[in-house]
Amino acid sequence: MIRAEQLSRSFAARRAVHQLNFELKPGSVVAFVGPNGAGKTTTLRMITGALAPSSGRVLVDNFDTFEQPYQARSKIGFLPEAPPLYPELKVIENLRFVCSIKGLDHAVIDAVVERCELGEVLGQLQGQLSKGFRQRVGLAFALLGEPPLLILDEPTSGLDPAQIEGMRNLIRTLGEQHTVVLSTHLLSEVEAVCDHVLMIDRGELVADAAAEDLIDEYGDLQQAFLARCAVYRQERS
Amino acid sequence: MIRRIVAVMKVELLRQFTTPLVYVMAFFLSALSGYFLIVLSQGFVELTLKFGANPEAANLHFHERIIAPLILNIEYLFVVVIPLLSMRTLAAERSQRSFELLAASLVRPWELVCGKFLALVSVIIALCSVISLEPLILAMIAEPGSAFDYGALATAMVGLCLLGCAFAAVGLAASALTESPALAAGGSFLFLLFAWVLRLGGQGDGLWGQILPALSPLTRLENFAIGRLSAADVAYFVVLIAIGLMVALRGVDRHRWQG
Repeated sequence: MIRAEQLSRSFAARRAVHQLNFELKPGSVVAFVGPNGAGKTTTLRMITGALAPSSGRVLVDNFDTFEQPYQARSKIGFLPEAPPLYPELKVIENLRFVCSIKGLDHAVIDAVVERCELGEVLGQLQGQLSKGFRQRVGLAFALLGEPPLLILDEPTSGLDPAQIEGMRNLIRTLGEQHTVVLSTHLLSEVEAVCDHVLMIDRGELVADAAAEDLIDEYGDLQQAFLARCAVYRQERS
Repeated sequence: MIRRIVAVMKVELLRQFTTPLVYVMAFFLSALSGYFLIVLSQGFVELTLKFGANPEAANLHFHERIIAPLILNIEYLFVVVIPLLSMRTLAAERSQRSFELLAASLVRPWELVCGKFLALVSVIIALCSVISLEPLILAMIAEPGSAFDYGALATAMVGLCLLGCAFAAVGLAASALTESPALAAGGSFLFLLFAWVLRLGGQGDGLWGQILPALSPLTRLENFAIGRLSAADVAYFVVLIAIGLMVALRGVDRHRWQG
């Protein structure tokens, strides 16, 4: 589904992501794990084609996200960290707009509204929604057109515990029909919803393994992350 | 392709009309153009009374004495109004983070720029239509048989629309280059102020006195204002619009490279 080859990105002199190589199979829920500033969002943005890599490439369903961005993007539903919405418009107007730019009939909105439980807020202005609902609307945008790959950047960021649980349940359900790639720095979230983990530290991949295997080897994901980072930092120095 | 451009245009129009800015600008423009019309009409009436017996002596041409100066006054209002209307188009997409969605979507950068520009053009046409009502009302209440040149009025309004579109393209370019709508408005205002200064250069003598005003969009409206349609003036505005849109496109595309 996704293949990254020697993927790197720098911002001026700062190296954000360095020579990432990984391959993700379809039909899994994959977590990008790492501390703030590790390069998770940069990697996800390169996968969506919103950001050009400095070197290397990403293939989504065998389409290069930079050379063939629109073919690749047609396979992707993206939820950025800050829900990308027009606050001065109503939820339904935002959904119709996303439908139009994806080339979909407005009739598909109903199914997504039901799935994300947005019926009660359709007529409300986007800017007046709670964080939880905004996140759901963002997810509804990603789901329109039922793309095979969903990329969710910090999907539970800023949500209260009840909303976090609701979002996790939704992600689990989505994982049954889509390949889901999410970024998070919460290891509890990974244990709760993900099958596979990509750990990233200072822009470099330190682990690419099944969540279960890492837990078996290190006891829990936190220990796994710390141990893998320590090994990498030692190798670098 | 067309569907995505129309979608971007529609959502931009919705955004424009959900904020009070367009309504305030429409009020501001129609109130001031109405005031200019009254003042110019009063001057025209005074001249008519003075030279009524011999209109030729005072060159009492209705269009040249009222409509053309009115249009040339409105162009100065456009220098202020259009940057305010265009400032949010792309800059606010970045500040509200909605650009993230568009950058990862199937919308091509040029479709985004075209959609935004067409939305601004629609607003400008609406504003020009409101402004053109005032001379039309004057024509209706004028004495039957008085020579009101509807063709010249139409040409003047086309010129005003073209000027507005050129200013909108400049505003869009400024909006594409920054995250701050205020900075975008300031940038395009400064550019248009520079265009005004270029026109003032025409008051000097010599070669520069001829070249500088020819480069100013404000000078290019003069022929339209008196009802004269010139291919060179139309071409000038088309080129200015194309340059503005290309800079805007570059600004949008830059996001992909610079993050």
